[in-house]
Amino acid sequence: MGSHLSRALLEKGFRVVSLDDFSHGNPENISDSIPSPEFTFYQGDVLDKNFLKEISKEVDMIIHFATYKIPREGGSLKTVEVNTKGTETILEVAKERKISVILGSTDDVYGKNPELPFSEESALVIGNSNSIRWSDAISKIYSEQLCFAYQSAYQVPVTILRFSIIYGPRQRKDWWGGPQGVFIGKALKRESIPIHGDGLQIRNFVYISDAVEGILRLIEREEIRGEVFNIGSSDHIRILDLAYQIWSLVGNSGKPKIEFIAYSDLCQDYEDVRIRDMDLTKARYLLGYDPTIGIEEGLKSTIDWFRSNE
Amino acid sequence: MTLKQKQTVVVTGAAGFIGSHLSELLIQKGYKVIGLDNLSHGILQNLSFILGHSQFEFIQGDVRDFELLLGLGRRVDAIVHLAAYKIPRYGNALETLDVNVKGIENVLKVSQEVRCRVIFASTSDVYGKNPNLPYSENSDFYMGSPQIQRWSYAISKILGEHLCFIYGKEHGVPMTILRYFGSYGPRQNLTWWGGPQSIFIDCALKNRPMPMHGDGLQTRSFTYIQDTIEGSLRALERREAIGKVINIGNIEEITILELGKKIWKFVCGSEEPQIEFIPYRQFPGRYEDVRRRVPDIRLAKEILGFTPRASIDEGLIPTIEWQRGVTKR
Repeated sequence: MGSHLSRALLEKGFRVVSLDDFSHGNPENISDSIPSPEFTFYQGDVLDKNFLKEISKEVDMIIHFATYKIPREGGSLKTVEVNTKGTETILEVAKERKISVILGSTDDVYGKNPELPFSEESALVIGNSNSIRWSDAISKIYSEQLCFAYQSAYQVPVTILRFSIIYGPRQRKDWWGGPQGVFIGKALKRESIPIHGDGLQIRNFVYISDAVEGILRLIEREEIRGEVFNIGSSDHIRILDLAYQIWSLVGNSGKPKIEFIAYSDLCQDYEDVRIRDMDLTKARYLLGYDPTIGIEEGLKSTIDWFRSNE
Repeated sequence: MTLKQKQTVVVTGAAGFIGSHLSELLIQKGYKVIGLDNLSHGILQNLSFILGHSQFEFIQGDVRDFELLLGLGRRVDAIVHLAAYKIPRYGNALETLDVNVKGIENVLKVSQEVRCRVIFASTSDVYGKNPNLPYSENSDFYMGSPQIQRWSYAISKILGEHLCFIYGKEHGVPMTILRYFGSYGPRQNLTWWGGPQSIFIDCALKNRPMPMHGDGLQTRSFTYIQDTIEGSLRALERREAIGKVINIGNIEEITILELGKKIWKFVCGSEEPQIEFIPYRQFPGRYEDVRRRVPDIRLAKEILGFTPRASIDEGLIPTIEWQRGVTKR
């Protein structure tokens, strides 16, 4: 998402200073932005405040997407630290430089809330602290609170964007990038598709160009700050159906073999969320946000990209 | 690693309400106590019974000072971490988020190095707006919008709990999380920081109207301080409590309005209570109250053999007597 947004910003005439530690990002993703004289890239860590202060000398706004997201991979401590301290560092720099912040958050903050769809005012319902499954969500909920606390204490203008699952070219091919990435990889090799739980859980998917368009609209409407927005789409799909759809879109015949993975194999006390559905009214009304790429079209482009990047 | 008598315990927030009572109880039980407090909200007067006691040492310092905490950690067997900020509605959301998370993080890091036992004071507020009562330790947390600062307290405590479990699992830190349900009693803070009792008692003593947030029909379960510290002591002493999160509270439920009327009756006799209702919209910023809050305390009974004893009447009377004393001075 960072690489797509950077390119879109350059096309709109912005100057972009970008930062990544390449722990999960890929240098190839920014190869189309690198030649631009308006693009500067630094390899570094969001927890390094002095470095961040240095590179944001002539910056008007910080868009903070660097994050860890799967506590069951690589440790919850790392997830919580990168997410909470990363946000704190960004806010400290924004406070000193007197600039605004956009924080990338997630629809996972709504957790198990049974009342659908999720509006920005919906309760954030998370399970008990002894399941690391919730470490990512609580680190984001904390980061969101921290943003508004800085806005209130130091007048740092903040905006929170809660994204659903974003997919498209350049997405990661492992679980980090969402189920669709894993499914496409398996389908292309005609291998069985791994599904967590029974596959009947429903998720909201938004194509990368739509999500980027939403962010651009927010950036350009400087009068809108201090708000929370859902950025998703109207495509909510059962994970099992997603697997079937991807199987046929890559041109495979018949039905895929599904390998069901029990939640208990993921982590202790794993709790899945059955349905995630976002209310986009606020983003539509205030930002004119209007996702246009349907799941089939989006998946086709994503599959094409997977094919040319095997 | 059950704690034996003659062991040494650091109590953070020792000059606060719960901290001072717990420090006294520990000394009474034969422990050595190092009380740490930055005196931002605690007062030394709370420690007047044990300041100067051979088994008590007071250190003025901040829980965010890692080196200080590590130095103390090397000398002790356990840290009971009570120091916290709690009322963001007075505009200190940032301090609440910062102190509460960095405090427990430092305590856990110290324990990772020195292997001391950790007790983390969490709160019933983590259950937030959850409509399903009573709250067992496995109940879900219902938080509200980040634009409402009220939630920063609960969220800071939830993150603190996660850090406890993470350090417990990834680094073997022997921790216990206690979720306190509204403690009250002598030495409680005399502002809203200490809960509604102190405000109501103060008004009744001065014959002024008691401020009632909302319609006063929200309920709470209040726990008398002696019960709170008894539960805490048992959690510290029992090996079975390690790795657990336990509700410490009284299941007696009372509306805030009833509480006010009761206090008025105890202080002023039968005369009609004076009450001033304050709509939530008069609070700075947006605010959300929680309607009911009742703990399920079976786990405390099972693991700690602990059930609170003091009824609200039994707890209110000594609280009122104490407050009458300090108000005169």
